[in-house]
Amino acid sequence: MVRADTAGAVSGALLPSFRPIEDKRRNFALIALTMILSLFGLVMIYSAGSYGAEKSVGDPFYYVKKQALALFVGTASMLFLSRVDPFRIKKLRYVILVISFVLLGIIFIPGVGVVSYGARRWIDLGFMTMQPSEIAKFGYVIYAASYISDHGLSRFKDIVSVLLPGALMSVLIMLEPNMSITMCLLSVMVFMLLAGGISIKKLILLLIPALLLIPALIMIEPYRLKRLMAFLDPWASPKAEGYQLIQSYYALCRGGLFGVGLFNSRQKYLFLPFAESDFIFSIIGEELGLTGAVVTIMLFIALIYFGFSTASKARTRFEALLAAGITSLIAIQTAVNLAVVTGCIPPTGLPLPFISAGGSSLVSFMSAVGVLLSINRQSSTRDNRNHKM
Amino acid sequence: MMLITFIFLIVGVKLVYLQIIEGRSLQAKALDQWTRDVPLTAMRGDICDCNGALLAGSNTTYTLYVRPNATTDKTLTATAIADVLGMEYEDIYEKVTKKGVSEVTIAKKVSKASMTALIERGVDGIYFGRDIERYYKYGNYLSQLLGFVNADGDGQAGLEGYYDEYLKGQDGKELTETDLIGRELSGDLSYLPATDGLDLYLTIDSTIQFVAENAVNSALSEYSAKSANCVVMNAKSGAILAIAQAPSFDLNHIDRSDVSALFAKMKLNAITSVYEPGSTFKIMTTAIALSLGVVSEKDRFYCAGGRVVDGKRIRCWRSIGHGSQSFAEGVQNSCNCVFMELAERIGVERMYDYFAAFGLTEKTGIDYMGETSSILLKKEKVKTVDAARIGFGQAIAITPLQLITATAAAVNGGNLVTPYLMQEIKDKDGRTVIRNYPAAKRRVISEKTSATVRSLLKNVVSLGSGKLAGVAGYSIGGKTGTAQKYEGGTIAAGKYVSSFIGFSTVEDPEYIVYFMVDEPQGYRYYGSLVAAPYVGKVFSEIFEYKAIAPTASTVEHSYGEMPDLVGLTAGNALKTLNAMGATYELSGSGGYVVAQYPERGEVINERSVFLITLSEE
Repeated sequence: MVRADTAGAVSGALLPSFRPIEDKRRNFALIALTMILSLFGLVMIYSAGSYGAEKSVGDPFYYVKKQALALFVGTASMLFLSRVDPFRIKKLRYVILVISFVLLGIIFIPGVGVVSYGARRWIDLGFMTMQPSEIAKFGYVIYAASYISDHGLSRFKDIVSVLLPGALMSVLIMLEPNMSITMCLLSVMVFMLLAGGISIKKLILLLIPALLLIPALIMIEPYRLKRLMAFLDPWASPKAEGYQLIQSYYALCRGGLFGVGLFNSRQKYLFLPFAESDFIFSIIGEELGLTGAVVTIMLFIALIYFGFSTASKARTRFEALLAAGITSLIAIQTAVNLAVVTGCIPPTGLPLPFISAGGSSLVSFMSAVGVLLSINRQSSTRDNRNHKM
Repeated sequence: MMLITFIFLIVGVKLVYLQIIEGRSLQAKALDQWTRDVPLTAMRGDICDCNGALLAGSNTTYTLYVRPNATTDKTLTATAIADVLGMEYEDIYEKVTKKGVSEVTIAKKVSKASMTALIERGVDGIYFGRDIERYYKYGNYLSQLLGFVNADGDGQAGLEGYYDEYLKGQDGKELTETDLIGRELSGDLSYLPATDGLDLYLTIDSTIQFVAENAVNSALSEYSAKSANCVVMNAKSGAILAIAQAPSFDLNHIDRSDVSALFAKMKLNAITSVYEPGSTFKIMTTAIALSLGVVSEKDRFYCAGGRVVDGKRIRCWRSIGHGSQSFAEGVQNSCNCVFMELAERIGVERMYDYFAAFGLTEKTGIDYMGETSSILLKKEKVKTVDAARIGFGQAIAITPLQLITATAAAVNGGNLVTPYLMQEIKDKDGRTVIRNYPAAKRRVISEKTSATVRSLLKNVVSLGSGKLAGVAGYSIGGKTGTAQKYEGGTIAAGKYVSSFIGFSTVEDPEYIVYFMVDEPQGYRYYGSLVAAPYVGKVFSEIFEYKAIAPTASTVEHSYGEMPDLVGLTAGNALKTLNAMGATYELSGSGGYVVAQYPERGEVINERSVFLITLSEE
């Protein structure tokens, strides 16, 4: 049961009811799920990426090493943030927002931004590359949660205030270009509005022009239209647009019910592009079968469950919105990645949270879990003083 | 939330669909990209004669491929190939370093020695595929029977085509698991071995075949004929011992530029063409009449040079007639009038029943592609006059093989057999896989009737028009045939089919020899003069090869030198010949002799056959 009068109330339509779970156990579950997913990701990155890494850079452990470093940094960040009061984050919201914009902007300075696969998405830090959009999307969630908890969404000005930084970010990310993160960010923006209790009428008024924007974006980059069509019948263009999806299908089909066994993938031998990152789920499906794939999905669902549970138990509206926003990012990105890999929606390059190779992604998702842990800690230590339930 | 849950649900359903339901069909599609294969061609089976002598065999050659992506030291590999195969280094290096291809063919028809030498060099990136090259030991020999294979090594014509299923074997392949661009993955090599084809052993006896080949070739040049054909069959089993046809072509150098011309040359007349049999068909009429009891050896006939059937006079080949003669003499003389009368006695209904029994209305069932069957008038449409003509071998067209098998039935004791070419099929270890056992289809006439037919046909060779088919000291029976060819429904002037069918021994027929010359040129066109001598020649060489001892004196009674008959009146010339007891043929008509054969002064004997050309001049 969701109670509208709780401090952590988030619009009842969005969240299911949660059984009261003791916060410590919830935190243990969140940490355990995060670590299981991340370590499992490390193993799968080795399996999926070692052959390609050996052939391209001569070191089969290339991706694993990078991911292990990110895992270390991410774990530290998660543990650190779990001890930081969310309200200190709230105070820093503008700083974080400005940093996000600066990072997104730096990419466009030649020599700093790294161009790869026709997109300018990374900042070269020397020892590793960083993807600012991974940080920016959380920066936005923090900002939006703060604003909505302070001002609500009743006035038109509030809505504009919540959306404007997000829209600006979207434009910057779109310029990289990175369609998939943009779509994720836009989805989170909608989610934050809903969580903030926007009336459905206003939302629809907002969404109509936004939906009209999608075809416009496709028109700007015509290759997107082709990619969009490709997922419907990948065999129409097996060597071009349909190639990646066909390779993903081949991997999944080979897996069957129980998979061909860990490390035994055939598709990782360069057949499947981005096997260690965006399409790592295909290799999971191939090596561990339907069983492994479903277990992986269950782990994500559990993580999302505990994330939203954190939101519903939060002691303040800000913490509830923050927890819900973070969880929605995890949920959206997971769902979109899986939908792409299985050919349910047009392919976009989006990493699977915690599992795909990608340091920035792992560090920021782990940090986000750290914030969830902190919110839980706050609700358990101070909840007793706040008997509004 | 609802949307997310919905997406997870859809993903789950799609996973089940992809991984479980569609799994197999998708995997089949994927298999192609996971492996690179080098084909291993199965060794085509050999074709051998009845004694195991090779007629058609295969050579193994190798095709050398290089996979640029699997070649670590391209210079080393290219050098090794250039050294061993004696090719230009630059050309090879260019191929070895080629981008964007998984395999490059370097050389075809590489010998096994070169292949071994290259493998010993220990360079990587090289692969060999096995190819088969077909060769025919004798080339221009048995060509139409053996047939040939196409460029891919698939049997296309003749026995190569008919027995392709057994000869071709099953190709294999060497599968190598590779990555996207063809680099080999360690330890994942699967090998589907090729199953070699089976060896085909024919009933053909190479030695007898050589005899037949020589005979058709000399007949072709002697008579500038359209074709010369010879078939030797075992009269009891139906095993074909030789089947030769001239002109022929070299199987090792086939001109494939004109396919229709090639297949015209491939046509094996004895099996795939029909001819009017002419007098050789009188064997059938004789056998049927004797079997039905409508004639006996002692019955007497009178030939006035023709016979009126249904108000229409049909001429005997001898316009002055044979006069009064016994049935045996009628057969000896090949008198048309006798056989017209026999045909009348037999009647159309019974005649056709026997034709069916003798296998003349169906294919013989020989194991050869493209066998054809006889052309007969529809039974309901056969008038008495047609039946009379059929009685002496006209108004009917049958394949030589039908005539041979029917004749075999008439003389071998009465059993119709299925002629066959395959004796057995063996695998490479010499184990018999299939064996052909001769099978009598049915009894057509009685043993006793068959014996009578044999003795009547023996006289043809010993006393009548078949004399030239005889071999001194051996008992041979047979029948000549000279048929005029029809073109567009009318008799084609000067175009004949001259044939002879003989068997030996008369007492226990084992060999049946058929010889046919299609369109012999010149004035000698009688089967007795054109075909019979070659049958005699074939028989004598078979007897020598098989070491069959003569049963009678081999000394031939000489008649001395041939007198000069040219310029004599026909009456005087025939008087001279009759006084010698000679067998002769007449050509042309008129009162005077203008040409003779043999020429004046040639030594003649009791087995000579004479040709006298008459004219009014």
